[in-house]
Amino acid sequence: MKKRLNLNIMVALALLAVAVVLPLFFQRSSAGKYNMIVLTYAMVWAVAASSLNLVLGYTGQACLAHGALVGIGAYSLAIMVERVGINYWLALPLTCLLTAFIGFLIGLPSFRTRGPYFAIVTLCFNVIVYATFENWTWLSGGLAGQPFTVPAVLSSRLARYYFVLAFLVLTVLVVRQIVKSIVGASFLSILSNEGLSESVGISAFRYKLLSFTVSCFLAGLAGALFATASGRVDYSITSYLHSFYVLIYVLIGGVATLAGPVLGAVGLYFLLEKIKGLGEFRYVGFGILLILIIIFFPRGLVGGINQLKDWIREKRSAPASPGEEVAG
Amino acid sequence: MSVILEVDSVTKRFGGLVAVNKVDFTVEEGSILGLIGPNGAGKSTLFNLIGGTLKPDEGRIRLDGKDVTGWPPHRVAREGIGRTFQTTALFEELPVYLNLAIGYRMRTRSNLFDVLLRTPRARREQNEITARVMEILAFTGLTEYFDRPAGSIPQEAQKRLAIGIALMGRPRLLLLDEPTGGVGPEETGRIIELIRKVRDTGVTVCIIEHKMKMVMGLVDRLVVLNFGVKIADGPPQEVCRDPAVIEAYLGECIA
Repeated sequence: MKKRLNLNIMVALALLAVAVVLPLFFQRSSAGKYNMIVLTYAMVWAVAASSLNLVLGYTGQACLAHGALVGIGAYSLAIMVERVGINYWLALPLTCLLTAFIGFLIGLPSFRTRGPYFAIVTLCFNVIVYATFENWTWLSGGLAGQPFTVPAVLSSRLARYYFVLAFLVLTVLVVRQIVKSIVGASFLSILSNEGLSESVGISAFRYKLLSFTVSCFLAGLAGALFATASGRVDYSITSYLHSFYVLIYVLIGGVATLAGPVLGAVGLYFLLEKIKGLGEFRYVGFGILLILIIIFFPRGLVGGINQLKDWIREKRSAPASPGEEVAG
Repeated sequence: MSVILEVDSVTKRFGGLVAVNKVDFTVEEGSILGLIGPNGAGKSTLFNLIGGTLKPDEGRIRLDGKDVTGWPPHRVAREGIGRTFQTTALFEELPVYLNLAIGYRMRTRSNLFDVLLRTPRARREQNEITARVMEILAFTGLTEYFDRPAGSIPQEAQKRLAIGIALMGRPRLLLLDEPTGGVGPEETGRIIELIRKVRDTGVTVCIIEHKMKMVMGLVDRLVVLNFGVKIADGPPQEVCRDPAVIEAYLGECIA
């Protein structure tokens, strides 16, 4: 068990090293520079996917509002900085707190009920937010959007790449610290057996609310990073389509794994960008891919890799001793 | 001896059906009480009323004199009532040690910031959890399975794990709903032994059981329900000779 843990950490560090070194190659060509921009956005969505994974993968509550939450985060940062005149570095944590607070307010009534209500409530919330930002052009800036000047330190694309990467690493570390703790175990207990966890003193309502609030905090961060990366926010970012994209990143990457949402988001975002030429047809392929993954790897790609590793380990450690199963 | 649980003329109706009808009984601290009765007599409903999963329509439930009627399950659990379910409830995908650790959550206070910042409290409580998990693993005889997913261990071990989860939070009263249901006669012995050990540590036990023979040798007192009504209450040998009980059980008891 210890060995596998170390292996996972080693793979993660290797991937991180690649992410750190990649821009050195990207800087050399214009195609490379374009790839770096795509990768920056992909990592923004990886933050969003990791945040969804906390509430969906580890707590079992399907949130369909991550598009709206990311959008609120993006607008919140841009408006605070551009119109209110708050310093960027202060506006950044405020944005996260505001998004977390909005999540808290949504969770308060919707976690009173069980079952699919939460998914329905969050989807409705997303539709409302989208319609609001589309129509209230005084707030959203309409199609032109809300322009946004990033601080001087982040004026280069390269700086923004590393900035987003740093926050992605931080997000994964935060989620890891939570899910490995007794608080994370309480989240898992609700996903696994809500009735039993209530019977051992865990208030499902409180822990769902906590999980969702933290998830929204991180979704707000993703939004702030999006605004920072793009330097402009328009209402299309609040679309529920983004909610489904983020959901698909998590499902294909692997629910309840730390690496899954990151690899899912980065891989798929990059892939979709590369096959942009196919236009609307690429979404058909997306759908087929999703169906195949759910059938063959219900726990996503990372879940599939773990299954494979378990299978190999079993084959290696237990050279079939029949009867043991019966006696044990 | 003092009374730990007091069920005071509790009634629960489901539409027109009276599942539990003005049931009264008390449980003495440190004893084992058996709750028996034919299928549909209202035994599990009664447990759900005590455990907070259901709210009674009438009557009161008191734990150590404190009125806990209508409290939600998580508050009842914190007050000191542990329970298992008729269909063995476990966190099946999670390893055995984590199943137990979750059972101790209610006795820890680490919040989100404690675990994120690894405060002294978080670290102290993490050690506390580990120590308690080791203790209960040994107590329930599950040490060998500690890192196996709970759903993958043998049936009888699962039953012991369910009891272990309920014990983690140091309950004063333990409600066991058919702890030996679906387990073979030999393995039943191990569970009985565990229940006696639990009682010997000072935990009061209420147990729903179908296997009459097993109940007779284990419990200090028997309460018999039939169609939601209490029809007998007393020492097992006496209750067994009660004509009303014999009728309800079609003579099964005297055999």
